[in-house]
Amino acid sequence: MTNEQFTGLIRQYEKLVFTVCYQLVRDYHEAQNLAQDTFLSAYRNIDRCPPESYRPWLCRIAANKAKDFLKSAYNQRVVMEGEEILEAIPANRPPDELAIEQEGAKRIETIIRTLKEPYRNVSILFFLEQKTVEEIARRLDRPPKTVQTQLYRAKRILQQKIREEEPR
Amino acid sequence: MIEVFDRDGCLTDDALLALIRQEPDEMTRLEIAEHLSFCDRCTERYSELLCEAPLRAPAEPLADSVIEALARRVRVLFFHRYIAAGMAACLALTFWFTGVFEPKAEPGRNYGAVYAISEQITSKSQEFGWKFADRFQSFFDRFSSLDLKGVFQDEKK
Repeated sequence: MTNEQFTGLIRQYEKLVFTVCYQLVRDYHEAQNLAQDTFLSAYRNIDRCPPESYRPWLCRIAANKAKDFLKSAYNQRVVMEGEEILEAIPANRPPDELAIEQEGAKRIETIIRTLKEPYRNVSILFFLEQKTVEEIARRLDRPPKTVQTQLYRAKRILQQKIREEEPR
Repeated sequence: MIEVFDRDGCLTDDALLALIRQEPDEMTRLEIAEHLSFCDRCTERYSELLCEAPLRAPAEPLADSVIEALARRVRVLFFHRYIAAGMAACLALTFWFTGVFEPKAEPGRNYGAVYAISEQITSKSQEFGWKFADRFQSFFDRFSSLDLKGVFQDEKK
């Protein structure tokens, strides 16, 4: 693709790309920057994309740019209290302790199963079925980093729900 | 409150339409953006919905700023590449002419072959130095008609 052709492509799709960026980040100035970054990224691989797929392909790149922006602006660090309840219960613990912890584990399992997507499936696979992030990513057909992010957020939601359910 | 994801973990139509109407909060928008970044099916659906939705125009047309940014990237790329090569060549020549690579002469030893090779390398280095200078000059002469796509393909290789 020549520079003139690429310029024509930008003119054809700039509104679409800008709209996608704006709808996701809701900041006019930032959407302009992200739209520009979208086309800069598209330039490197434009020859690999068939022309009939330009539209969804550019939307995907724009969504990626918006995701990176939103992620950096949104703090995802979570430390969950009572996380030990979510770990596998060891076999050599006293029965009464096991009974109490089994009660807690059952409660956690119930809460996990009430989570909404996209956190429900990753939580069930990670906390209840003890799958690794890579296994979850393969099964759910999501990138591993996305699975990790969703697990962090799931932990935060679970933390909040556990706190709400704790007797005062 | 709308359901953003269906049982399969994909975006619902309601979620995409809400996004177009600019209703979701920041967290929901982040979740939607994350999903669109890897799900072809939902991205396809979203782009089809946008065909019927009013599109926003950027404050300034993007074409000029994108082409300018690409040209700037090319200049930086060439600068780094040729400056690095130039500095390596200067360093090598400096070491060569100051005798760093010359072995110490020992009595009774015949260094004829070594010196012959040394002469050859010296003349090659000088030739390289002149070629580098010529290329550097021609770079600035050619830059205005440079094909930017060709540069990035070389970079990819």
